Amino acid sequence: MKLLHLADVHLGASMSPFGDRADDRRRRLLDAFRELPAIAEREGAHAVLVAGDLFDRPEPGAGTVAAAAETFARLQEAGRPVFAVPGNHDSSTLHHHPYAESLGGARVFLSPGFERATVETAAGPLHVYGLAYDMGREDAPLSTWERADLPGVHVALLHGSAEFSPHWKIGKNALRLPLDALAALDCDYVALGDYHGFRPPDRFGGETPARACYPGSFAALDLTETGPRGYVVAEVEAGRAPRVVHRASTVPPLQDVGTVDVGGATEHDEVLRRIAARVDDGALPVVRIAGVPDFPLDVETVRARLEERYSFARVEDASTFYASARLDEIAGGDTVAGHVVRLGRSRIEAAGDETEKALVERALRVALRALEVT
Amino acid sequence: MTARVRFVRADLEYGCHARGSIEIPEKDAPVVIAGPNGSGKTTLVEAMVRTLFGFDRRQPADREGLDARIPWAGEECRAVVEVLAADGRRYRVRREFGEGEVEIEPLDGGPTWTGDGNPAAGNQEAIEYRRRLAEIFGLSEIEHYESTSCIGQGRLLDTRLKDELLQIEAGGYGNVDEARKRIRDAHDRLTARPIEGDGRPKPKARAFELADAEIQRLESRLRSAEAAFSWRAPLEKEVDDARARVHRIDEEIGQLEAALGPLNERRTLTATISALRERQATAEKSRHRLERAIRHHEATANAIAIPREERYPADFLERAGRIEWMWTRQSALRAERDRLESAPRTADVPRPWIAPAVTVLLAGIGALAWVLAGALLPLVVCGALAVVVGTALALHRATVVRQRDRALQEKQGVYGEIDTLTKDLTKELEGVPRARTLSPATIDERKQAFEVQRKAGEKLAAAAEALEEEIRDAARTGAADPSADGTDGQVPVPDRAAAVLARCEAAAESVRTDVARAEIRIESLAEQPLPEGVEESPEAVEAALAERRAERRQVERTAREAESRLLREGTGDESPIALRDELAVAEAGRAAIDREARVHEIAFALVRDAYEAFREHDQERLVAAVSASLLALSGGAIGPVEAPGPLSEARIRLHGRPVELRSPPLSYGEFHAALLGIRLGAGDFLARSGIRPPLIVDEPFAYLDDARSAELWRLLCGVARERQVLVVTQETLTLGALGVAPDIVLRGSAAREETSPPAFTP
Repeated sequence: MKLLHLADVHLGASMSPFGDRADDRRRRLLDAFRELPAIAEREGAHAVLVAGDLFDRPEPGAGTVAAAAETFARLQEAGRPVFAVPGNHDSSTLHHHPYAESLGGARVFLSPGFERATVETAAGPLHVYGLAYDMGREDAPLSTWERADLPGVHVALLHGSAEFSPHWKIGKNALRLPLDALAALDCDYVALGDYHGFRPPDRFGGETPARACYPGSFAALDLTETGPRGYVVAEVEAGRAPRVVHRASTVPPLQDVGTVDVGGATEHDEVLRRIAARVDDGALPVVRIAGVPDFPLDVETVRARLEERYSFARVEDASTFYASARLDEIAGGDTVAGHVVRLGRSRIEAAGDETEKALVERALRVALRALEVT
Repeated sequence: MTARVRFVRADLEYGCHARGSIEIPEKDAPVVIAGPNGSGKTTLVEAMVRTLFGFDRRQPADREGLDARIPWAGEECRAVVEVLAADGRRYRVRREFGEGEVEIEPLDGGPTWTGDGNPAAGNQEAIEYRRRLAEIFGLSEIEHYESTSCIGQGRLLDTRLKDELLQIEAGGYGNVDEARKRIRDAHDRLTARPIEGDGRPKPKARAFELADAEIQRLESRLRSAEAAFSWRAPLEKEVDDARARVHRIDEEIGQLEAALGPLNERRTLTATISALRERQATAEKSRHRLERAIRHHEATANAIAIPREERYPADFLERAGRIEWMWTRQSALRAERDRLESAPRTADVPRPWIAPAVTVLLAGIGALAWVLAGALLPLVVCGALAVVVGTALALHRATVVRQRDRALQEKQGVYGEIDTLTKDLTKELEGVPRARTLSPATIDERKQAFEVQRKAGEKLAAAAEALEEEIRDAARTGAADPSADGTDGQVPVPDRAAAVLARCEAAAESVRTDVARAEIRIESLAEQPLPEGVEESPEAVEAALAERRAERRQVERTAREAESRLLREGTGDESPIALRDELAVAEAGRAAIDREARVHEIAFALVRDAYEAFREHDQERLVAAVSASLLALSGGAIGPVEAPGPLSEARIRLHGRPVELRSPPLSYGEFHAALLGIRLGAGDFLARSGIRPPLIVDEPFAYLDDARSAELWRLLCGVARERQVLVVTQETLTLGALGVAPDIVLRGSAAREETSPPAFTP
């Protein structure tokens, strides 16, 4: 049985880290989500599992909810039942939440303890057990697990934080999923959401291997979410370990280009050439530049030029101009700029830590740029 | 202000020596304006300079100079100068020297400014003009210009090394100001906090403050959301506890309600059994009494058993009375009958035809007599006799008939009465035993027999009455319903009694059965569990039920209130985790803005501190610049300048010996070169500070030998790479010796432009 498993779509997310591109990013996320029926058709999925945080906020807007409902309705019409649980962002414990009304016929689990829904698929019976975490009503929801003695595939659908997930530290506001408890769930597949990275079953660790999987976020929501983002196609059979394949959504991914050495570069064009050589087609670069250029490199210029080419870019500047030969030359003159360089260097040397040093180093560049020193 | 300032063009109506237009070529070498004495070279330069700075009429020299330039013919004195300003924009400055009015027209677009250009005026327009002039030209006062970059003919002697130079320089460093402005502007876009510690924060929030406010809002929202979550658990527990309590109460109510039915039924059954047993006892009692009455009745009946045919009717005595009377009457009637039987019969009645026959006979006789006798008398007598005899015979017959009819009628009455009596007697005798033998002779015997029989009947009736009473009693007590068969009025009492007895027995049996059933039902009623502390009685259960129901209402109310509070206080509008994520992004954004703001604050401090450090060495730099010029111009013979104290006390070295600037050992040429060196050095000093107005040198080669002229020209060419240099000279020979072709040659009194390319390129 093939299950299309996705989570943390965060429809309606502000995408504010993408700055001016946030609107475009939001639109592309919604467009990519609307492709689910085609994806399910292509992948031959028998059912669709949405493991929480489908929406970024409890009131995501009528248009967004309508788009989700329409997408689910199309999946249902195509004979692919949709199962969903609320997440942290669209929790059903809030005054208003998008699951109060039917969402395109999707089966949304809203009970604080496990509930079971059974459907007959072309690949046999599918039993999905889901819950909506509500710490007030059920502080040990995993203890409510009870497998039905029925033939078919049994799948648990949860939005919670395993021990390696950042939300694990938050405490009881998030559903904590100890690895042992996950392994103890007597089912064929545990479809999880909340952790934004892809985590297949064989990377869960623990003494007993869990049949759990995090598909990760559907698309990068902030600049830390680099790499392919999308969904998982899980091939699940009763009594056998699931096999999962991660597929990328059509939302352009962020590519962690890594550190690009701009040492010796004499102009911005050269820096851009060095970065562009490492950026994949269609990706949005996240790059760290380091080294000692031979000119007062302006990171904003680099970023603006990259955005011209890739529509979005993030540039972290770790280059150190203060040690360059050009700066030596400027420092040698009896000019205000020379004094600025000499003073800046002395302050960099006196900086208490690397953070302070980086600040002064960047301030030196800002000062020289303001003095129009090239 | 880093770009050099340049005169581009001049249109002059400036006295009689400077009229017309002149284009000043752009080049990296000095622009040489040459011409013979009186050709207007100096006036041309003065016109351009004065167009910018004007004349101070309060100064006698300026007043005289202006008067000299205003033609006595009364023509207007005006000039227009185009200047490429330090900011790279072109301006056209027009001055009406007579009125002192100035117009600044930006040639790259923008509004034209017009106002008072009087250099000495203190009004707002004049101040504004000087501010604009400083922006365009770098300097706003002609004294500063002339003491550094405008070396007028014969003005070299005014040259002094003085602190004023440093003051002029202090107003410069436009590039530093610009840099600081750029940093400040960038900082202002980031945050409202002052870029320096002692500054005032800006009233309007910038990116950092907006981010900070957003974070505070997020934190507030997060606190609310987390508070809702933290309140949620106890409130949900309260609701759940209340609901659980309601559930427990419902269970107890269920138990109580379940127990109440059987308890009530048991009580009812017990009462029913009691009633049944009572009814059974009554029925048994009735049955016993009935049986006794029946037996008594039977015994009585048996004791007076008389064959039916021998039983006298109960009204035998009355009948006997009536029979005796009938017998008497019957006798009387028979006697009457006999009497009547003796009365005339029908045959005794005369025939009806006798009277008419006699009459007719008599009449006939008379008629016959008349006929025969013809006498009338016989006729009349016979006629009358006939009428009398006929009438008497008729009357007689009528009387006999009446007697006969009366006798017949009486006989009929007697016979009728006799028949009636016979019938009545028969009727009276009906049911009377041996009625045939009843006669007046036996009647007394019979009456005695009847009396005996009546007394026995009375005893039986009493027994029957007693039996009847028992039947009624049985009916009254409900043991049996005598009317159940509907024949109580027709069925003999013993039979009815037997039937009632049977029913009594059946009823008793039924009661016994009902009792047994009730007892079985009671046995079958299982013991119902009751909540702790509740007695097993309907009253206790009902009291407990009422108590539980009241408690349930109370707990329900508590649960509803808790649910309401849960909805109101324990249910957030936002997810804490989502807010936390959003807060993390916002904090990262604020940190980035803060970092950038700090970078700009550090950059601003760097520029400020570096500039202050730089300024601390201004005098050294000025002295160094002047020394360099002096050494260059003198071929190393004069200089360097030494100024350990105030500049006014500076000394120069002459052939290695420190002397005062105006000391006798200097020849006039050396002195002139020294003054020129000071001016050029000062200009160079200002240029390093960003003040780069055109350097104007009028007659620089005067008093200089060829070697110094060449050195001067070399110096001027060096300066010209950084700023515009206008050299005004009539020394064509020197120019020729230097290989320099003038750019503008003035001939005669009219200004004329010559646009030949420079003949010398350094």
